[in-house]
Amino acid sequence: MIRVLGLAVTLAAAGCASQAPPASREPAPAPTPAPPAAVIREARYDDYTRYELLAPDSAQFAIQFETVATKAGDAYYFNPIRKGSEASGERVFDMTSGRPLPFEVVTGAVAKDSGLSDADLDTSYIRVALPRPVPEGGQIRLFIEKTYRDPKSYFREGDLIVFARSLGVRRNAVVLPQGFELVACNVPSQVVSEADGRIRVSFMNTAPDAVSLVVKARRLNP
Amino acid sequence: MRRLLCAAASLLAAAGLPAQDPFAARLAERARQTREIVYFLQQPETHAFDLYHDYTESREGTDKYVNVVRRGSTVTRPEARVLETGAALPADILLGDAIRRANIDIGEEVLPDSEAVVIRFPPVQAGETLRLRISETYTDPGSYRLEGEELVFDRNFGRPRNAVVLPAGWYLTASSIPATVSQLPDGRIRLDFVNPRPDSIDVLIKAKRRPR
Repeated sequence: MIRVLGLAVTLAAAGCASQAPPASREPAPAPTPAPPAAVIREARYDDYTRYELLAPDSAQFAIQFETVATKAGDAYYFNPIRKGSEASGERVFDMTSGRPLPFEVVTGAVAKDSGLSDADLDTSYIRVALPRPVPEGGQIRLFIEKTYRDPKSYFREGDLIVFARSLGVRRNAVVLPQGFELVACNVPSQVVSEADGRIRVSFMNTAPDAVSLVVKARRLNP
Repeated sequence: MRRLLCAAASLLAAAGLPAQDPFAARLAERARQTREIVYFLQQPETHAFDLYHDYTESREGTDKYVNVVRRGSTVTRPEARVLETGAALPADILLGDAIRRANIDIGEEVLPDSEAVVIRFPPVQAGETLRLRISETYTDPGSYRLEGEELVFDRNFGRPRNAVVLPAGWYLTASSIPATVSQLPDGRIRLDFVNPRPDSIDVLIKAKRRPR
């Protein structure tokens, strides 16, 4: 229970950052294309993604993804790795217990064979071994961390940094690097300041399609 | 509230809906409303902000627009023009008894400190419409102030579309209501709010000075 509370407090205070040790991981898979918008399912408002933009020239951003497995009896949960993004630093946690969960990166074919019937054969997946089967009418909440490097999503434009990405998850937040101000955001978003002064942009997408988010920021002390 | 109902009734009339319907105000078509307000914040020590308010008048026979100034706010420099022609329209600030003497309905009891801006124009003819822009400067320490080193703009917006432009030299640190954000050519930050619901939004914006 202490571990659960610890994780909850950490998530609330640090925007889902977890201090738990990393789970085993395999080499990052080859980049694969983004899933089509049609993959978006209804009523997936449980999912929440936080993107923390890392050093501007790194093209990297840390992702913290809260999600749920809801299909009764499932033993695995599959999280696609977007084509064009190089993934690293994956970790997965059971949000109920706070414990890390075992996972592996698998091909689309393996994902399909192990239960993801609509797996894209050209996409790689983080296959998470669930700590228990999903109960009928219930859910298992998961917390997935990973870092993506994607120069097409996160890049410089003159004196600005740009985060431009199609996001299918309904609830999202983007945290600017330290010392940057927000100068553009094309999706109606709340703006809040983190405790450390970083600016967080947060929005909910209620439309049926993925949102093409563009966030631009500029260093405050050029 | 009475002002809100009056505004809603006007919109209903413009939309051709029956005003006696008790649900009419809540069922007015929000997307069809034509009002938009853009606020330009001056430096926060002044508590002042310029604004312009665009709307389309389509009610036959209407010959004036009355803007009742919120309590706590004072208004200066009212101006108005027809957007299609650029023609300037007379704009007057009326106080207390002057409102009553001019027989202006402000949708609420006229008190000695009641304040209204009245824009007069030729009566709208059948089949015609008029797109108006009304510009004013408001001063309101309750809505716009400096708290420590932080600018605070805290105001209720009833219109479907509103925008706020930060003063020069300030960067955005908070917005309670979702907004799109953009930068004007002169470097100022603009927030655009679209509220598709038939209610108002409590906008809270904070900003800090950019380091020099």
